[in-house]
Amino acid sequence: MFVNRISPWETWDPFREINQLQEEMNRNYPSFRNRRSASAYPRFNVWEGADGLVITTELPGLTVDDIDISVEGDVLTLKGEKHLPEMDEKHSFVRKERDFGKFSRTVRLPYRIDPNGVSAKFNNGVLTLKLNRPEEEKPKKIQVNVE
Amino acid sequence: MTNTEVVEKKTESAPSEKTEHPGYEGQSYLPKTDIIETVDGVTIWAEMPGVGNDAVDIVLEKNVLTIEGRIQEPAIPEGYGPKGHEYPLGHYYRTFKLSNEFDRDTIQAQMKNGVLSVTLPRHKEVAPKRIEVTQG
Repeated sequence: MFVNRISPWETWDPFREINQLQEEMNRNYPSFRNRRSASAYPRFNVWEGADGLVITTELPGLTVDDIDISVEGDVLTLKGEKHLPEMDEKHSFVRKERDFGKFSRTVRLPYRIDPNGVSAKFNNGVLTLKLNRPEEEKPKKIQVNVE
Repeated sequence: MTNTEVVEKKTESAPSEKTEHPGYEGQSYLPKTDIIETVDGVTIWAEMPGVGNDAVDIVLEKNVLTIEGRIQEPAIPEGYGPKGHEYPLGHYYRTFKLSNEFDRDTIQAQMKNGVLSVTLPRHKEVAPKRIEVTQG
């Protein structure tokens, strides 16, 4: 059960789950160890609020059509492909710092996300995902009545 | 040395590292940059995610091309608090030293999906000429 994964006595940390996933991958696939030691790509910034999570990630040079987002239960997968800009035949790189090609990142979130509660915005190369929890699973505030 | 002569002023700084920049409050970073040489000149591609069309400054002073980008912070809904950060936010700043072979009047710049492209056409008279080898 997903609720068992978060201890009620600890501060909630979404990256504990992400790091755990990475550790598992490192253990199962030793070849990942070196490649993933720097950091996963793309990198995520996470916010939390009453409805769930907001995740932003920088994907410069991609278009909306290059991005593929899927949410299944509490697992978020972000896939994409960054294409080399079109150039004439006789070009050469004087300096090359940008990376191109396909990428995929899967993270386990701290709780299930409503598949109909996912919205995505792509603006100036930054993707913003809003991931809402199912209505019935959102934490409820209980009023304390003073008599 | 290639014949493009686009040399960076701060070659010792790695991309995405913090740079000292007097104009901005907060951090600024070196954008990851590709420099591509074509037949007509040179194109610079600089990644500045979060920077809109109207937030880029490109200044050419003597032979130093400076690119600056101010990020627009992502719109986070009210009541949401930060839970984890894997990447830092900051403005972008980088300088390039140019040779005289570029035509300053026809430099073009475009911002698209967080990537700035600056096209520097070569002066017509210094553009490499193709010499055909004829059989005879």
